[in-house]
This record gives sequence, C-alpha cells and structure tokens, in this order.
Amino acid sequence: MLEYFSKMREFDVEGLPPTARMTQNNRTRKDTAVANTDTEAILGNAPELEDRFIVIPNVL
Amino acid sequence: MHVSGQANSWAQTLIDPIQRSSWLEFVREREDQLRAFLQFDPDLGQEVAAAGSALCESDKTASLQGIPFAVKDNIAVRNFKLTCGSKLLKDFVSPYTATVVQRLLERGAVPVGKTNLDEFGMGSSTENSGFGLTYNPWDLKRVPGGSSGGSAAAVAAGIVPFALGSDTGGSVRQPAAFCGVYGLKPTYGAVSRFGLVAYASSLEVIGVIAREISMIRDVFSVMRGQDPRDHSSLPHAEAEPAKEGGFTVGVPDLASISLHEEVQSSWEKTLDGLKSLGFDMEKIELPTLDYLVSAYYVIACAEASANLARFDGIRYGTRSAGFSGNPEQLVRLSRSRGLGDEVKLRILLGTYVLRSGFQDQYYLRAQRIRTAIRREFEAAFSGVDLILMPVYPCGPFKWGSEGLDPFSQKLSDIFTCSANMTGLPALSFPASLENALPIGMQFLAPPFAEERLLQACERFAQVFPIPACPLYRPRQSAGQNESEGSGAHSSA
Repeated sequence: MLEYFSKMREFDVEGLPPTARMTQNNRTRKDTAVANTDTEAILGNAPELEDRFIVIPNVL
Repeated sequence: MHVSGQANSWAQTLIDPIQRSSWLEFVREREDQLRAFLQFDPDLGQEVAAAGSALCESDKTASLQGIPFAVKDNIAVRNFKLTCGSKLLKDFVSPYTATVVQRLLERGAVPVGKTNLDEFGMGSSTENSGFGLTYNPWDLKRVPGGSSGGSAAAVAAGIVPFALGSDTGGSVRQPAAFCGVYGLKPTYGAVSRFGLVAYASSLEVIGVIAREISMIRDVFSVMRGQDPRDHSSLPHAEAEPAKEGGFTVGVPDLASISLHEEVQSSWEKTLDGLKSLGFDMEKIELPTLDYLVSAYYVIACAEASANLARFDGIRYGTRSAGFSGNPEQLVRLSRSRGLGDEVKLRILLGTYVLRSGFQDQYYLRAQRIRTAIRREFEAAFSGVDLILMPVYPCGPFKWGSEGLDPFSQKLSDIFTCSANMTGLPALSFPASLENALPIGMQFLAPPFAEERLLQACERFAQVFPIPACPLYRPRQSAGQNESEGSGAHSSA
C-alpha cells in the first residue's frame, strides 16, 4: 500500500491549497444542558464496574 | 402526504397477525441462506419505534407509518447492539439513537434489525466482518459487496423495503450494484452523521438502499436536513423542478481503467439506453482519476487512525481477559484481539502517514490532490447535468480465495470514491443483467441535486426496470393474490 501511495508524487500539487475540511461553515449553539441519555445505559457497557466506577489496572 | 406504492404493501406487515407471521417465516428462511443480519428483533424494534415516535406536525412530505427497515450495524439505534462488525464491540448496546434514525421513527418507521458489514466500514465485500460473511441473494457463492453488504442483501431479497448504510468510498453504492438495487449516497452534509460510528469523518455519509426510487426519495426527504448535533451538516437546498426533456450526461474517458467484460457490456448498454431516452451524452475529461485512489486511502486511513483510537477496551468494548499489570497492556491486548486484520492495516497506514515529517509527503499531498479533483468535477458540471460512471470494474465476485484480494479491492474503488472525495451526491442503479448477475452504474450530480439523480434513474427504469433476484419475494397485501413487486427481468 505504501508503495502505491508514492504514485501521488507524480502529481503536480503546485499552487493547490489542501482541502482541510468539507464544509466551510462554523456554527455555534447555546451551551445549555439537555437530558441526553441515561447513565445506566452507558455504564451497562463497561467491562468491569465497582459501584459506579470503571475498574482498570493500576496506572502507577 | 405522499406514500409510495411500496409503502402501502408494507404498512400492515408488522401489525396484521397473518402478514406478520408469514413475513417472519420468510425472513427465517432467507436468513439461513443470506446471513444479512447481525441482530434481527422486530419486537425490540417496535418498542424502540413506539418510544421514539412523536406526533408531530411537520413540513415533511412522506409518511413511513409501519414500514420495517434495516440499519447497518455502525449506525446507532438505542437498545440494539452497535457492533460495527467488530469483535471488540460484540456486546456493546447503544445507549442512544442516530439523528437520521430518530427522524425515521418520528414518521412511523420501525427498525427491525442491524445488518452485517465489513468491520468499521472497511472493505468492499463484507468478508471483513468479525462475525462471518453475508451472501449475495443473486448467487450464494458470491459476495453482496461492502461494506453495507447486509443492508443490500436484505433489500434485494425483499426482507425489508429499505435499509440504511454508510458510504465512505462506495460502501452504499457498490453493494447496491452487486445486489441489483438502488443505492443513494447523499451530498456530504445533507444528512446528519450523529450516530454514525466514525471511520473517515470527511468522507462518509449515511445513505439509503431500496428497490424503488420513490422509497429512496421518501426516506431521504425525511432524513435530510441540518442537525445541531452535527456541525458538518448543512441545510438542504430547494429541490429542482422536474426537467423537461433529457439531461445532459458527462461521460468520462475510461481508457486507462480496465473493465471486466460484464461491466464493459453493461456500460455500453447503459449508454445506448440513455441515448434512446433522449439524454445527451457528452465526453468529459477527468485526468485526476488516476491519482484518486491513493489520495483517498491516505485520507481515509489517516482519519481512521484518529477515529478508532477510542476503541481501547477501557470504558466499553471487549476487554481482553488475562491482562496483568498495566493499562497499556490492557489496551494493546484488547485492540490486538478485538480488531480484524484489515482494520489494523488501515490504522497502521494512517498512523504512518500522519507521522511528523511525513505529512507533507502523504496527507497534505493527498489533500491537495483532493482540491484538484473537486475543481475538476466542478468544472465538468458547468457543462453537464449529470456524470455517468460505472460503480465497480467487475461484477459481484466470489467470496474467498477465488474472489478479489484486498489490494485489488482497494484499487477498484476508483469509480466510487470520487463522490466521497468531492462530497457530491451519487446514486447507483441496476443497469443490466450479465450472465444472470446484476451490474450497476451510477450518476453523480452537483451538491444537493439528489432530485436530479432520482429523476434520471426513474427515466432509465423505463429501459431497464429493477430486476428481481431468484430469492426475492414481494410483499403481498392482505386479500391480494397479485403482488406489487416485479417479476424477474432478463437483460434488455
């Protein structure tokens, strides 16, 4: 695959700006809290729980 | 309120006891053969639909009351699993519903199951699913295409009238073509991505697969529109009025790309068919097509490496048992064991091209080529209404070692990934049958001109109506012996 990528070198990119994003709008929305989903459903997917904490091996 | 013809025959399927039991019997039989679904649960679907629907007066023009539909398993539906075809997420239950699904629920549609896919949307055959193959209803020895293979197979067999998929580099259009049905990839930004598990955020769009154009139109009109939860979504432009006479269709020179003979034959029949309908064909040049695939994969892999970094087995997902000591090992083991080879390949490639010092050579260069491609298509559309292209260089191939190897599959994305790189809408349609297998072609249109695509395909259906695969059974309304579906069609 990497070899295949090097095909791009043949292309003359002089003067072409990179397409960094597909939509040029920049919108904001009100920073208000909305009831989104319930914690139970989210914690239900955690591999290992202790009370309401997700257990992972010791970091230190 | 407009209800498409097909919607009529499905409206009672889940509610009328006789229709329901006959449909469930049919699904059981088909699923043994096709394995299109990872999770099929109409009861759960009805619960979800009831909770999600609201009586709302809106200016939407379609009603989908009672219509069952399937959802690709990388699009979130609350309480259904969201595996993305990955062992790493095999037990993950979605705590929320994607915006587009929510909009469909509000119009009365019922999600009956989640369909099989290439893992995280990476692939063109559904062979990369962590949970096994889906089979093409036209020939069970062949792939249904990918990555939305399950959705396309379910629609082609008549299990559901429409299904949702996602299209990052052709993943709605190519399986639709392989299964002889319609597949719409909307304009980037026309449809909210909130609830679509991200693979390549600047390329992917949620799309619709169906056997009737009217169904595609209805579903799309419900789904589309700006969503405050997806800042890349845009308001949809007004639909264009129906065009008198034919469209002008740009036809690129395909000399540099070798088409298998079944696709070459279908391509020629399509050109003849369009001309006979009064479409004007005009040659166009797309020289950058040669560099498209390499630029596409650099961008897709780079974005994938970032988007898939979240799957670490820590907060959710299959945590690898037997880790000892530290979180780093936990993450490494979870990802090594949970992710498939194709996914690992793309993450590694993406990480590599984003390494500091390499970005100019790969990622930035690919983005510049992307600009060139966008400009080229924009220029092409100044002279034509639509662009016609094949969908894939070959027809539906056999699964396994007799089929297409992964590298060749990637190179074959050349026709489809142009719409993703440019953000343009595209619709694949069944063009002909070659050796009893469907071959699809596609139209591309300027941004937000999906209606133009739909009209063109409606016209083309006059010369080649949608074929029915041997396993297809149309839905019968209660009290009718005659079905609303079409019988099998041979090539024109």
